[in-house]
Amino acid sequence: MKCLSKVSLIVFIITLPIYGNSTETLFNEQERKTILSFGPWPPTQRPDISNRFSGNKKAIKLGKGLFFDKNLSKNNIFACASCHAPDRHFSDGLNVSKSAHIATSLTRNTPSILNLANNRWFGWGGETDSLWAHSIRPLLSPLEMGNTASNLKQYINQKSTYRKLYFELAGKMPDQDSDNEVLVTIAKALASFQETLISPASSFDSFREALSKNNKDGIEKYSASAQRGLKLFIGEGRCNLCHFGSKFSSGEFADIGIPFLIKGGVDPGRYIGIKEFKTSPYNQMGAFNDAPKHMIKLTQYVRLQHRNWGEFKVPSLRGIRHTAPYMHNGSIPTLEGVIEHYNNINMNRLHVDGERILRPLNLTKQQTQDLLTFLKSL
Amino acid sequence: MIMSRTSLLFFFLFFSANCLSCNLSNNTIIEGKDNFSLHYSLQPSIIEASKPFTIQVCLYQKNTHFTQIEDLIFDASMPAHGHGMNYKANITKLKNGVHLIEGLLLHMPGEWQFTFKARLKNQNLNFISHHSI
Repeated sequence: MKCLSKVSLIVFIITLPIYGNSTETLFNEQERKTILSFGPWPPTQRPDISNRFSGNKKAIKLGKGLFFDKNLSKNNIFACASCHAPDRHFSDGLNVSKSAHIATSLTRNTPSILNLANNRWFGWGGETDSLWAHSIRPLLSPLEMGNTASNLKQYINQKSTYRKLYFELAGKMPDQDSDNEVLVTIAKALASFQETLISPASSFDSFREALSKNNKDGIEKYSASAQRGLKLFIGEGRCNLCHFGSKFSSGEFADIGIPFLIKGGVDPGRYIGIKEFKTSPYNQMGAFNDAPKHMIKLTQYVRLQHRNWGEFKVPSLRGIRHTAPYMHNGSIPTLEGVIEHYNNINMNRLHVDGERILRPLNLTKQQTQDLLTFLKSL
Repeated sequence: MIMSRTSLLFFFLFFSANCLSCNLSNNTIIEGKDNFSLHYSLQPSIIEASKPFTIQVCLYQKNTHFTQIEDLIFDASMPAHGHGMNYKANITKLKNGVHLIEGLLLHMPGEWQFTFKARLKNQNLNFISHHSI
């Protein structure tokens, strides 16, 4: 018996958590490791090798000017910033985006464009594999800004500030370049500007930093409710299977049972996204990519699968409290509603050959509140 | 007893082909049937979720680098979640007989299973390994 109690004591000591008081004992070593993997923030940013202007100050200046310029749309009424408004976390607060020149709405929610640098795919369906290629889409889409490469070239060539910056970047005047080359240069400048849009560090980041340094005071500043919510997020909720890394996103796609019926049809999401990407002249296998072909490592190998039907991009959760409404179609107005969706998820809506990960969370009221507190801290 | 020139050349070529260097660092070894073993190394050496990586593969029979692989197929999956990768592995045979697998990305943390299928002239070999990321 004496021997047994010694063994029990040793086991007890080994399994003792790292910290002494009740707030600090919430996370075991594995959980601590997972939490640290959500940072640091901001992450180290690499230039986009497919965009020779990435990080170039003149490109950023040109891109910033263009981003706020309504003359980039067909009817001169919409700028990029009209939908990606700085005071709305670079989103628009609407369920689905508006068209610049026809009385209709689009079918998808306007995502925030913060923290897009170094992403692999862009758009809810991943229609493009670079930020510059993605910047071309709204400019030319008849349902969005509705412009043409030819009109854009004419406009850039006429405006002296743009013309000067264009020359400094491209080494020639816009009218000496083809319509398509001007379009791509404009898009690359827009992308260079967007790469600079990074959300500030959050209270979660302060907590993570404190945890990494075993800073007891810093850890205690993060509310107990947020800590419990975090534990749920990486534990029972398994949210971190898709929302991981410093951006809280896999950067890939998932079907989470949100209906994809739209007026007059369906939105196939990733399925059509891959098809569009593969046929786009602006993808990274194309002539406008500035990186050597052997450096384009991944996107060319993407495969189209049946389960891609109805999958949408796993969004970053950073600043999520500012970007309501939620989901690809803006169908859930609040974060509480998002948790409710996962709490009672309709398994019949999930793809039969999709990932077997989701199941109703059945959270208690307290757990729901804790998860909400955590999400709001990001 | 005197070997013809043709036979000599054949044995020389066969011997050379199986002695091509296969110097993989930090390699993982999977033992298979008939004294075959598959050696592979990851680049980067530690796989992170949602970060691209490549694999270099060599097949050995006993202690000899076996280069007569007619076809190599690779896939990765998460058996517990019922899904594979979002990308199709691209496999090329390098001059030194090493197979390079590109286009790899594991989009979720957890337990992944790697499956290598090597088709030889007279038989097929399957090798399976597991990675936790």
